[in-house]
Amino acid sequence: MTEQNNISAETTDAIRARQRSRARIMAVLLGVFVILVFAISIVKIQIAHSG
Amino acid sequence: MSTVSALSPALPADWRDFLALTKPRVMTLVVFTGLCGMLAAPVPIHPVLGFTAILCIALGAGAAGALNQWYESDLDAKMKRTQRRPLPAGRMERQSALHFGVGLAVFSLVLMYFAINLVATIILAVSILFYVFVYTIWLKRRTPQNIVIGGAAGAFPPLIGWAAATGDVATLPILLFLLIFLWTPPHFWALALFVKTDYANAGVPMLPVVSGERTTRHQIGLYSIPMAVAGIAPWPLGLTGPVYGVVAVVLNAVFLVLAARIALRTSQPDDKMAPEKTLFKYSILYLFVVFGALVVDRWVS
Repeated sequence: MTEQNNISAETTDAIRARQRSRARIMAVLLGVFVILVFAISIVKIQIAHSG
Repeated sequence: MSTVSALSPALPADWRDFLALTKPRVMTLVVFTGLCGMLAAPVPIHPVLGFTAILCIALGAGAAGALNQWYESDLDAKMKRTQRRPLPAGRMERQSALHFGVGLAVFSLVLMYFAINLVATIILAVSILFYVFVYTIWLKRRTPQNIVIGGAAGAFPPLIGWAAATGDVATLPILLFLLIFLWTPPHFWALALFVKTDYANAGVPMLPVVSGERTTRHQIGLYSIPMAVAGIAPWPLGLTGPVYGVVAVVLNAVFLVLAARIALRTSQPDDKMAPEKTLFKYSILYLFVVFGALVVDRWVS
């Protein structure tokens, strides 16, 4: 029983660690996407004004 | 132990496995040819928009790669070269790969449409759909001509890059499309000659498996001729300068010699297939250098 609980705790930790790692990557990608959309908007506005 | 495993919830797939689904090594060639198509265009594109267009090409190629792996996980499990991929290795559920592939494809197309233009978006959509439906689902398991027709999917990036910069399609990017289209069969058949057993075990009807080694060798030699013509043609047609012309002539001459060497030889028992491996490696270098020369030629002239 104790062994099963230990393994279960380890598995839970592994799942949490994997979820944290994926969440970190997702946060970075979303941040990059926001910056990219901002940059595209500025460039489009510049092109519209100069054209 | 087995009870504990059965009760344990499945570990979510690692982000590296999602990255592996996109076939990053194939993507480098796609990104490079797309970038060269864009830089060879007569109209400059703003660096931010250029970066976005290349990002969309990369994401679209990644989506096609993910959907290909989703559909072919049974084949991948049978081949040594592919059995460590996330799906056959059991590190990811098939549905996750499908959702990831479809999501990435839609995202790349929406971004391309809003940031760049409709023509580039349509060609990107056609290339993704062609790779998934025509090559992966329809042709790959049915005909040894799978990579001849399916090769078109990998030939679209220079057209997309050009269309992103200009908003239309012209003769030069069409010739670049033709070059990659005609380059694909000798490239993959050279590979198929030295991994023939792998394809045969998986039941993929590659040319060496279905028609034999002799036919494959002849076809490699035959396809290399129109490929060389398409590669050199931009120079005499006045679409590029002498820098591209000289590089293209030299590279295509070497390609033809290597292809002829394969076409004229017969493998021996326990053959190491050295000429086939040489052509396979050279064909990758060939494409990088030809497209690189195109950009250098544009800058010089």
